[in-house]
Amino acid sequence: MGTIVVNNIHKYFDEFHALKGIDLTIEDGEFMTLLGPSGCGKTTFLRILAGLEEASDGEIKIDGREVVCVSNQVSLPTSDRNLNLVFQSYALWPHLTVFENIAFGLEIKKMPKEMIKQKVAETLERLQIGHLSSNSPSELSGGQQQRVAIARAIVTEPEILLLDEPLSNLDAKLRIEMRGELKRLHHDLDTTIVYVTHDQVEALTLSTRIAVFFEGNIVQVDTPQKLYNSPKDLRVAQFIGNPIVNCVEATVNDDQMEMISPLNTYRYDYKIGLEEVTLATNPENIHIVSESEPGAIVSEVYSVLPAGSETYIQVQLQETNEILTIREIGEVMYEIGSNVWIKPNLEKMHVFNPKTNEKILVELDLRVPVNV
Amino acid sequence: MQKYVTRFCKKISNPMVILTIAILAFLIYTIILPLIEILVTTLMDVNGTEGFSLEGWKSIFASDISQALLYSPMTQTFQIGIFVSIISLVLGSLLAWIVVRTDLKYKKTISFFLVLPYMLPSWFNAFVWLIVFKNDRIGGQTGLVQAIFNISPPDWLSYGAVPIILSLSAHYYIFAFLLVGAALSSINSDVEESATILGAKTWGILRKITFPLVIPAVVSAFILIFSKSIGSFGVPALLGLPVRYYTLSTMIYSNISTGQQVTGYILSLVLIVSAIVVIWMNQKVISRRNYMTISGKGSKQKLISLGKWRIPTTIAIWLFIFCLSILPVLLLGIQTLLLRDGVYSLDNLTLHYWIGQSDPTIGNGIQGVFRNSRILSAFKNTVVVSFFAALIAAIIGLVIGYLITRNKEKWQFRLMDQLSYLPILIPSIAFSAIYLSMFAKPGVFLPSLYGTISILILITVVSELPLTTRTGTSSMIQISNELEEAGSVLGASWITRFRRIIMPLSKKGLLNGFILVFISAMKELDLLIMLVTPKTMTLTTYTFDLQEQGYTQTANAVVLIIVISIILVYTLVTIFGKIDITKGVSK
Ligand SMILES: Nc1ncnc2c1ncn2[C@@H]1O[C@H](COP(=O)(O)OP(=O)(O)O)[C@@H](O)[C@H]1O
Ligand SMILES: [Mg+2]
Repeated sequence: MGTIVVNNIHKYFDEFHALKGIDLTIEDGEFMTLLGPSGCGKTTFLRILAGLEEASDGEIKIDGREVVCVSNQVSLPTSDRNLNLVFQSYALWPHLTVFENIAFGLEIKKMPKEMIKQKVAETLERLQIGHLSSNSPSELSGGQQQRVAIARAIVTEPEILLLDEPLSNLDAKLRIEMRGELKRLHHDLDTTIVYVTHDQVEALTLSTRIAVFFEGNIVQVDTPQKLYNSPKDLRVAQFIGNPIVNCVEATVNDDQMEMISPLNTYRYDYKIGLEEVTLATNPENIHIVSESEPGAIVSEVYSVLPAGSETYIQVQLQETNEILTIREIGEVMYEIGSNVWIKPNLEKMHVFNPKTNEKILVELDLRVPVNV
Repeated sequence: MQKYVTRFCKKISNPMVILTIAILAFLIYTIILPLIEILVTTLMDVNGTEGFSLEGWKSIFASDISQALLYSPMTQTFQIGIFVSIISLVLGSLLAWIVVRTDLKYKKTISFFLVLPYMLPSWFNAFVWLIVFKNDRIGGQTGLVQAIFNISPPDWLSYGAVPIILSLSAHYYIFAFLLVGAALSSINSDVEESATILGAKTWGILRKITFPLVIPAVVSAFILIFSKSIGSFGVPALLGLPVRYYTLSTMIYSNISTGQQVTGYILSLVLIVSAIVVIWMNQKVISRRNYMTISGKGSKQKLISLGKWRIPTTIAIWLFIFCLSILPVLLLGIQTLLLRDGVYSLDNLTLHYWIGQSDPTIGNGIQGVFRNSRILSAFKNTVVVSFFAALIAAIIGLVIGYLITRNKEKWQFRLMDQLSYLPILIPSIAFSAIYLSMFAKPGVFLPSLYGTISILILITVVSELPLTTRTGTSSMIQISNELEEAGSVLGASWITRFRRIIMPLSKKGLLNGFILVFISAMKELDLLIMLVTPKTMTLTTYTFDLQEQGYTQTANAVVLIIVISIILVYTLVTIFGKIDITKGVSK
């Protein structure tokens, strides 16, 4: 079991309002990722969940048990919450060997010596660091330290495992390798995992669900697919966009049911009630087409960036000089400075209110006017 | 209501809270209360008057005896302070520059010897001075100069300002050496090289770039040396008192030992205020913490080639070391072997003062050092005081360091930080005057401590707190909070975390603090001189007694024992403990 229900958690550091009412339900066995830019309060939230930091307001229940309730002055000590935390810095004890680091929690629980030995050995094997048992942490590489930190956290079999940017100190290759292992570990252990990261690819590849944080608020909680395909917030779209999301401003004319954007002029079905909107779409939703296609516009190739299995083409719009990024599968070649015709997939075009960053939810059914 | 009670109980049972309260109480009781007590003593029931009166202060600041009691000692004190600071700075900075920035050979050994005099009592130089330059003015035997050249050194050379200034400088140049040395080694030579590329000459670089960069360290050293030398007691006592040349500290001592408590206390307050003003000025001129951040990276430095200056420089430095570290110990050793003081001939040599039986014809029948039970007991007292003071001070320093680094923002802990730093502002002799007044009678919680070993330990602990709190804090800063939190997540209680994570990780800092206090306590005189009784005599205070009573050889023999013990500890620690004591000294 490891269900977490978070209700209206606030945190103030003196005047600074770091968390502004977090509501979140994490189901048993989920791999929930908290995603957001640096400084948005992810670590603070994780520490409150762990009991290392006191909340200023709100409640947290784990498996129906109240662990934090500020109004009733309930705050269970960390050790009574049956969870464990992997720190961003790993926080391995430098004066203890790898074995002793991992055994520490079991010793605190007064487990018999023989059993400790066996459990630590099992965990070391599971993380493929059995040969490092008697080394001191300072003799290990970053990746190995990472494994020790995870081993220390899972050896006590917590129902909830919290990880704070565990891969951020590793180099790119190791990071990809560890992603796979973490996912496998989640599958094998069956624990609930709460995972913090600012790397959207990490979040998309690992999670069952993602909670996106901005400035102390959660703005969207969804599965990776939904988050990517239909972000409910412009900031989410921009943050999740891989590598970047294309945004253009459009002027709205509700009388004529027409909006004018640097891409094209579009018709729509419902009144929007705003002067301006932001149109956003991912690079794979804009295509380079042949001239003849209706609705295509001309632009100049600004730069071509091959990335192995795919190619990113940056094009510059003629009127506004804005640069858009287009993704094409495979290796394609365009001459820099030449003109190409581009056409966005209007079904996957998201429309946002630039003032509130919120998505305009009504079905607009954007389309290119026939007479143009 | 109930809610508050449970909350209160919960708080009380938290060991951190208990510890915080206990430490704050300890600091207030041992530092603030004595200061208040001494102030009250000077204002209430003075000179036969009843109740509040300013009589005591008036008689010192504005009466016929003011000149003799206050103004003349004060002038002399400041004179000494200024000259000692200047000489020490010039000497220390020059040595630091040579050792850090040139390609001199055997730097480690040279540094060891250059810092050695700091490990010895500051008044050690005064003893040696007397052996060499004593004249016949106040009776007793004369010194080496008279014996060899058969001329009596002039008064100004034997006693008073000149020898005091030189003796103190020979001790305190080490502050300048360490502080300026640290600043110099933190300057990346890139800065200087970029000036070289622009065509600047060596001297121009020194003046325009190197010097401005070490200025903060120089100012720090100046203030430190100045405040230390105006508070020092041993040297001006040995070289000034015999000819009635007074400084504030010796004046305090004379007054209190002749029963003029109020005068002594008022002078103590004057001395404390002077020290506070000086240190406050330091904080005004530069904020040391910002300037003195020395990157842990160890900057790369290009050494300046001494070239044809190598041999003269090497000779000069070793000569300096010989004169300041080796010769004095030798002279002291030889002096203890002289049957009749001041007669330097082979047939006058004897081991009597070391191992002899009591003989009424020699030195008023004093026994050899190794037979003298009082010296044995003084040795024991010294070891006991040094050991326990070092242990307690190191642990308290570590705990305070822990509490401060873990709770930076809260006022209680900022107060704790400030309080623990306060004793550095109180000159030792004034500090012991305060304790004398406070613990002579049974106090609020304690029986009268005067005459016990405990008071010696207590005052040493409190006076060393600024040092151990700094070493404790700096070792705690290196232990990230997360290492402890990783323990609490696993269910380790605070006690367990402190015992199994914090303590082992700060072992080195703890040992460092312990050794520093141990050595410093072994050579401590100023702090203890007014608090010892015959039963609690330590080696240093006994030496001072012996010297005052004219048992020169025995006194010197005891000094030699102290010196050899300290050098032994210092050497062992440097070689085996892999602890660089010099790092702590400059704090
Ligand atoms: N102990 C603290 N005291 C004051 N401010 C803090 C403290 N911890 C975090 N903050 C502030 O709270 C905000 C959120 O921090 P954090 O949770 O660490 O962000 P993240 O982990 O998302 O990068 C930051 O602006 C940070 O400066
Ligand atoms: Mg963080």
